[in-house]
Amino acid sequence: MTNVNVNVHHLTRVEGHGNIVVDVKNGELVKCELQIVEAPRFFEAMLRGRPYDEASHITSRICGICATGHAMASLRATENALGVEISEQTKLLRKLVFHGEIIDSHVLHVYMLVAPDFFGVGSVLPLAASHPEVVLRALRIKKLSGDLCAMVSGRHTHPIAMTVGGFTHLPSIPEMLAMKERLVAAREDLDETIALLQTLPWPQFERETEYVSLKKDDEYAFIDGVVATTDGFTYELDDYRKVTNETCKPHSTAKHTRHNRESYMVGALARFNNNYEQLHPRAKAAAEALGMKPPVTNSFLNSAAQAIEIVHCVQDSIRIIDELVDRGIEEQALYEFQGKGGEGVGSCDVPRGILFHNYVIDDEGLIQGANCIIPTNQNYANMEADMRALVPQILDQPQEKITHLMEMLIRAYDPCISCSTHLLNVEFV
Amino acid sequence: MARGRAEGKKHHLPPATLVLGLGNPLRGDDGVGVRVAQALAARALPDDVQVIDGGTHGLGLVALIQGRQRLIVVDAADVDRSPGEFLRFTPKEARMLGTDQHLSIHAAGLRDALLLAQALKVLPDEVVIFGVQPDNLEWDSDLSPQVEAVLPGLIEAVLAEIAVNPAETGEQPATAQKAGG
Repeated sequence: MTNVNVNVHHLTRVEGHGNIVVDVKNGELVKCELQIVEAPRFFEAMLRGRPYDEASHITSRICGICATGHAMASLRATENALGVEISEQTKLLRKLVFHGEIIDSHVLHVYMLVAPDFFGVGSVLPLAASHPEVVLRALRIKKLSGDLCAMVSGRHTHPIAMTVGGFTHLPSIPEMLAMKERLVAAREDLDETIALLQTLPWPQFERETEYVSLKKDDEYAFIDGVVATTDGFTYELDDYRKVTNETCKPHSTAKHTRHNRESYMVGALARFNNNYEQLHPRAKAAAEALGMKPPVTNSFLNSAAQAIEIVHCVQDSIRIIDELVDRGIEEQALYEFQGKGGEGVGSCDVPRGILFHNYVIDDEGLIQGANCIIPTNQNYANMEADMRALVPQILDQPQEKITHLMEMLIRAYDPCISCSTHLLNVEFV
Repeated sequence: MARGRAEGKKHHLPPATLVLGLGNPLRGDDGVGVRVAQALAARALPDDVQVIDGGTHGLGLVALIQGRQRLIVVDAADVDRSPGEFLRFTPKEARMLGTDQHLSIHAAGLRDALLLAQALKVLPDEVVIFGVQPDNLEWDSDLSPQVEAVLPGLIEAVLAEIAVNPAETGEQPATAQKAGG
């Protein structure tokens, strides 16, 4: 009978540190765990006692990749707590910068972290040597999305111009028109991206789960809306805990979540399955080219759903710029604290999935309580459920191949285990 | 001299010199690069110099590095010195530890970004790194006293690297600090 022992310490090409442990004895799965060994982070504690208008700047440093997503969820939580209404112009600019970050994060994941698996190389470095045109294309898209973010939020990495109730800096019409030209010109790179993904041998693996994302009536939801699941549940944002139901697991320093089943999935594939109808026609065409129509139940295809979202976000950014140029950009008064606190929940569907921030603010404008639930935590239980389903299907393969497929599976979720310090370790020669 | 270029400005050719401050300001001394970037951004710098707070953007930094003639990086680094001391070095003078097998978006950050830029042949001709020995890397939004104390001297050293006279940047030159190394 088959014995398999997979032990991957410090899974590579994911954010932070996670271990994969699989133990099969006599053909029977004895152990199958994704162990999270990162020290838990203490953002909630760091927020306590801080003025409300610092929260978005602090939380934007949680992650160097999802900085805008955290800042946005933070602002929405604060605005909901304080009863701040935001203008149509602010909503449009926020959607625009959010699209920039979705493109930015997805292109890094698809090209630099996932693609090397399909080219049979260990990382993007040999890929850059063997297929420079592929990596340079990724960099072009990345530069575009970075410049889009900087145009709206004032910075390439951590947004500075977004504030409670609006923006402290506004892009000019000529800047937006120049950006639109570049977005239109990017279509060729996007077509090449989809063409590349068409050629990749995606692993065959089906396991249906519950897919959870934001949902809105009028658009493919990234900011605000309700929480919707493919099992037919809908919740107002204030009821987010009814979805997340966090629990602690002994093998993980991160909490697990569950809703209607043993696990649920968040991220690009969940959004695709929930909100496919609202994708831009070009994104739907990309999905068709990749043979994807909901429900897609192969978790490996989360990376393909990300590429489809890149197309959607580029197209929708063009639309938003057109609307902003038509309306004209005006300076708007910024929010002033009214001396009355409250509690609020903010939610955004960031690159890796649905994110919740929940703040309690006192009448002095100081944060008294905060809760942040990040997408990767919500995916852990589903990753393990996928691992348990996949292992028995691939037991006939060599151990090395099994290990590689498990790593690819976890990477497909684009997990952000920790945005830890990146201290440079130097040895002089 | 004009004010340092705002990051959001449209430019087809990026300014020739990029000064990149890296790190996470919520991780104690890891935020030293960001603090330097913030201080420099507030000063008047030549038009061909751009300062960016690169945070923990990791591999994404390559898109910012591309097209430059000169890259100056300020980052916390284990340079085997006392906390607060800093060293100026070039990639050729140092081996940045880690292996390709541990490549992630920002677990190793600068090293990977430089290697990728090199592999793509977009690494600027001139790369200079200011590595600052940290004392505290725990969750903390303040720098340690040792690193805080070296900031003025570090900023002056970076300005000297850019070949800018600190007195011309609109702020009083910082009191000279003993730099390590």
